[in-house]
Amino acid sequence: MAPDGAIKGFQDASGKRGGALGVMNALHVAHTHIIWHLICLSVQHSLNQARLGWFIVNLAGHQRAERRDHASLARPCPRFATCSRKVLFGVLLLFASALSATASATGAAAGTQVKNTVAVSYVQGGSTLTGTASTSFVVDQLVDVTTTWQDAKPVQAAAGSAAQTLLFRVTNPGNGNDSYKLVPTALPASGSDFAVDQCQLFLDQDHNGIRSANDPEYVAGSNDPVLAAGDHMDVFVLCALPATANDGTFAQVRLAATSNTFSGTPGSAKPSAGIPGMNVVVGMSSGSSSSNGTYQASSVSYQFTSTQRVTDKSGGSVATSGSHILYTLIVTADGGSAIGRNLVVTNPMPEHTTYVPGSLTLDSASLGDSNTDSDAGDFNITATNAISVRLGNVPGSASPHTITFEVTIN
Amino acid sequence: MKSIRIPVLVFGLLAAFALQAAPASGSIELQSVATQQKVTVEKDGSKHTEMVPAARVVPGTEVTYTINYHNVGAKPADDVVINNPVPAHMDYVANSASGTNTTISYSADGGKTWAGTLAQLSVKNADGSTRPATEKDCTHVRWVVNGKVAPGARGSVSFRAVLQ
Repeated sequence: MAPDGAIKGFQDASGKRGGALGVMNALHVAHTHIIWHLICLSVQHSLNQARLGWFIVNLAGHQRAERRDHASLARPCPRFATCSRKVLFGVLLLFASALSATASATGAAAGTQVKNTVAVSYVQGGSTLTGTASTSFVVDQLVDVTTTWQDAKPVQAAAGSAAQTLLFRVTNPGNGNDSYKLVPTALPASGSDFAVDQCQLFLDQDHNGIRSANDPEYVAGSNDPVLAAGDHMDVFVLCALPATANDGTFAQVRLAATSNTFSGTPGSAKPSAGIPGMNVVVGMSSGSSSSNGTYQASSVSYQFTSTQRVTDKSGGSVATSGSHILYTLIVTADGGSAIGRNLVVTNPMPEHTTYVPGSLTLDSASLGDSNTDSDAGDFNITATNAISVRLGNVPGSASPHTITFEVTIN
Repeated sequence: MKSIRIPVLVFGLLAAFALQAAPASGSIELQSVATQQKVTVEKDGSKHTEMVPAARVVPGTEVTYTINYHNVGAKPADDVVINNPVPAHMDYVANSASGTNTTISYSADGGKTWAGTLAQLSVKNADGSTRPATEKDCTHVRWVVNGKVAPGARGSVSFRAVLQ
């Protein structure tokens, strides 16, 4: 239900909405000036942004109602940026060499001398005799890398939001120290999907899975992560979603990691610069690995409509001192793919009116005015001289909610 | 008379110890050789495989250990037993042990107990329960040569292990 519908109700001279015009006339007569703050929405969410809509209806003495919607608000509701995100850790991947069994990251370190000693015992001339023989080889360095995207599912963010994070992990499954060059690529859009931009990389230097001040921005060639055999480094890729991304569509970012020691055809060998007599050999990864991570544009917005009905003491609809006004607020979700979390609707009492205790309802159920009564609403507690109704998590697909309350005109 | 015999006995005993302490005077020569497969792809795309010495080995590679024995002496050798602990950082390759004219057995507990197959041996899980041993649990491979090894006779046994 668009805000327009509500405004039409105010402007409807036929008085169908219970005498909005009557109100205005009364106000005109009373020379009062009422400013409505219809709804100020406070939305707290962790993973999704809600586009917030509110409008101010300003009833001046001369029946002029003006409305401002999201785009042209002078004083928009606070917008909450994406807050903490859950970090999901993936599984360390071990690569199977095509040669034979698994090359374990905890296996023989590069440069290790592996010695085989065989013993023989036998009986000869009435005595038991023994002998041994040995052979040794040195373990070559196997260069390998794996890159994995760690988020369990596409990272949802609102179109137009910046610095949205994908989590990747770069692992050294080889058997020697190595360092890796990282390259992020925002993949071009295909079909109805979109592309992100302004991508930056940060290294999870303090290994806590959360991007903090201790985690430096990655500069290629300057702080390439150095990893011992079996070690890993998590990488935060932060990109911006374009404002034009359609709700529910996807964008991909590829992170590639390449060994600084050696890369190329698997099995290629060259002498080690570090350990004499040892070779460095490219493993099955070719010394390079990349993985794609996915963003999904996801938003939700809500429309708020409000109507009022005036009842005076004699049963008519004259807005004068002592008359009752019944306000009906309808909150409608726009069908977006996100879920606005912890939606709270507050509505201050209009000037020169007094809340009628006990009149607050949500979806036809009465809500108590106190907040000790474990229901979703209160008056004058969450917000001064205002009703507050907690709608909880409201997905884009939710059915409309109806809130009503009454005031008396002072 | 009695006093003379004792020194002879002592001498005999000393000689026996000396023989046991000096394995070099036995006549079985032992040699351990490590090789690995090398695959060469020709320009025409054909591949040929050869075994080359294992001097430098890449993790994940199978190494073939060949143990050659040769009786270089004039006397036969009896009860010839060849015992090869699986080298550190390597895993035995299942069913890879071979040796003509030998009986092969395995250990998974450092050589204390032996069986003809690894599955006949038991190992303990972390929670204390037991399970049959697998090739990854194998600690030793042993070949008992059937019969005697005659003077001048040679033999060869082998097994494969993977570098971790």
